[in-house]
Amino acid sequence: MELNLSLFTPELFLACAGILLILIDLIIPSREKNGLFALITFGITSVAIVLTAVYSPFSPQEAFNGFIKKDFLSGLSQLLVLFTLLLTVLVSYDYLERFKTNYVGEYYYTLIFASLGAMLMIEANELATLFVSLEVMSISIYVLMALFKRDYRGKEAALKYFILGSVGAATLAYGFALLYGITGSTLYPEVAKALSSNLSAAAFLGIALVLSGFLFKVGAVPFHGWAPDAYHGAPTPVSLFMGAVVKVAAFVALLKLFFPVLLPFFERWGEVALIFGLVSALFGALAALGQENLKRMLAYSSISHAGVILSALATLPALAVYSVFFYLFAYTFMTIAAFGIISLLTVKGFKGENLSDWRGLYSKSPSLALLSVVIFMALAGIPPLLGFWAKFYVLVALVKTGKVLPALIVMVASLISLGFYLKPLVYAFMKEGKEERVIPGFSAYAAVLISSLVLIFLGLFPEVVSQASLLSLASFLKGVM
Amino acid sequence: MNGLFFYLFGFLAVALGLAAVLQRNVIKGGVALLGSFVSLGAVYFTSGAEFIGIVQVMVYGGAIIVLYLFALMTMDLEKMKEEPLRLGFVSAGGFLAGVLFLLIVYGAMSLEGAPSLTVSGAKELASPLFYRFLLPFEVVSVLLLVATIGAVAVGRREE
Repeated sequence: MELNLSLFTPELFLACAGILLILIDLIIPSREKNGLFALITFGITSVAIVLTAVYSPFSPQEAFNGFIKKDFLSGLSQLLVLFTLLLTVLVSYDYLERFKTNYVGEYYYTLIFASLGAMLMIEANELATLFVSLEVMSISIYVLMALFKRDYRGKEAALKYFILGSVGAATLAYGFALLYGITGSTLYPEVAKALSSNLSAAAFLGIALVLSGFLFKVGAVPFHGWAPDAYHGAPTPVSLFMGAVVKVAAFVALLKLFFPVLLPFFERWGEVALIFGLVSALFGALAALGQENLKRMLAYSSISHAGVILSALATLPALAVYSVFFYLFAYTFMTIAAFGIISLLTVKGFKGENLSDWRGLYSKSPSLALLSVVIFMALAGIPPLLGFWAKFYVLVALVKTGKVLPALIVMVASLISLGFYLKPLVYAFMKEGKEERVIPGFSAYAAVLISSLVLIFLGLFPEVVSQASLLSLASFLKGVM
Repeated sequence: MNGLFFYLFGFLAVALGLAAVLQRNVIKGGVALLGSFVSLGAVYFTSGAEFIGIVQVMVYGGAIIVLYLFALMTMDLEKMKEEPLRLGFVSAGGFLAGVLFLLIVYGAMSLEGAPSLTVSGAKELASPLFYRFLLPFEVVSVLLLVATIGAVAVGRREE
């Protein structure tokens, strides 16, 4: 029995803070709730960020009998999750001022619980822990989608996502059950040891089911059907949160699960991931071309990005961790910025989400229009923004491992994506619109500004992210070998 | 002594199970089913599997029967009484029950010697649950908390 509780401090803090917020919710008058809760959640998240930074060791350490394993990769990914939470709170404060809900307190602490689930999922080193933490994250997100008053679109999206998400979770649970039945253990190292000596058809079925469950969670073709409806219907800060956090958590968990367990059979699995990835990258880009609603367009673009990350997973072990983490880092900030700016521009009746609402944005608010240039060009992968370097390293990884054709397909997909990322800019700069003043909320504006600045500065100095990815790679491999 | 109680509760379980099926009043049938479940729990007790017995009484006798009775009370029972028995349903149910019965008999026949009862105690279950699998167990409690709050918030009527 080796608990090693001190390693678990950030998660414990977050869990306790979330539960305390439930109690605080009862005594705060509803008039000041939004501001106070946003402030408290912001403070909690900042403390959690500091704690996570302190408690992420370079040489991997285990806690709870090896049920969780922390290394630099998990630490940095958790920081990404918490940073997303921080900026989501900023965007949410502004959104909740304009769109009413009776459940302000619930909204903020469910956000905290969702982040807790994502953090646990990232550091999980055991199948049962991975499953329950995934469910904590998913169920919190279903709830978040349905909390707003008279927002039937959000409730419909929540129900759709809930039903499909349950099927995805069931697939994952079947896979885990099969793996447990074959290997007799749920700990990754023991599962890996048992599988490396005997890989039966049942084991392949289990692995295929687990992989399908993960493909569902990241929204890759052919399990992408929920993504456009869920992203479109959810309140925009929630789309932001799930777009960034679910992808980071699912991909890092996939890396941590599949590396030790499947390293010997990497060749075969790598090809499968590559095919799914390339199809998703192309499909997402093509489907996004015809979208009129910006959130729907970003949903399809997220399918395309997930495809690129999946094909990066297929490169050799070392390169995969590096390029996947780099891409996730860039993708997180691009998602925050893109959904953040949509949330900023959305006014009553969801006006501002459609392309036509962006007419003449430049004359209304030049600063927002310029920020949108940064954001959409980063998403499209135009140098010198961070999105370019993310795509660049994926391409380098693919070419280095001799996969030139897949690299070309990824390039074609990103060329197609340039087409739809330019559309909102064309509307913003070249089309005349009605003269309506846009008054962006301060906090949401700050969130968009911060993430755009990150995209610019780290785009100019990609060495920072590159070094971080290298360090996390080294730390991760140290724990696996 | 143990053998006597075993057969007594075994007989009770079967008899009450029959009553549950044959009773025309559904509520009475539900109560008979409750008695059948409790007797079955007692059967587990007499054969030395205390933990399974307790769980049987708690889960089946406590939760599932209450759920059944709640579901039955939301239905229009008078209307159900008038409805004639359909041959198709009865034969399908009979067929399934027959298959299940044969399976159980087959399983009992192929059983060699008395099954060991070492894993039926509470300790064997509690020790992995609260020591080895402590973390997932605790995370499940967070999950239930979130799900409960979410269910209340989403399900409440908007004013």
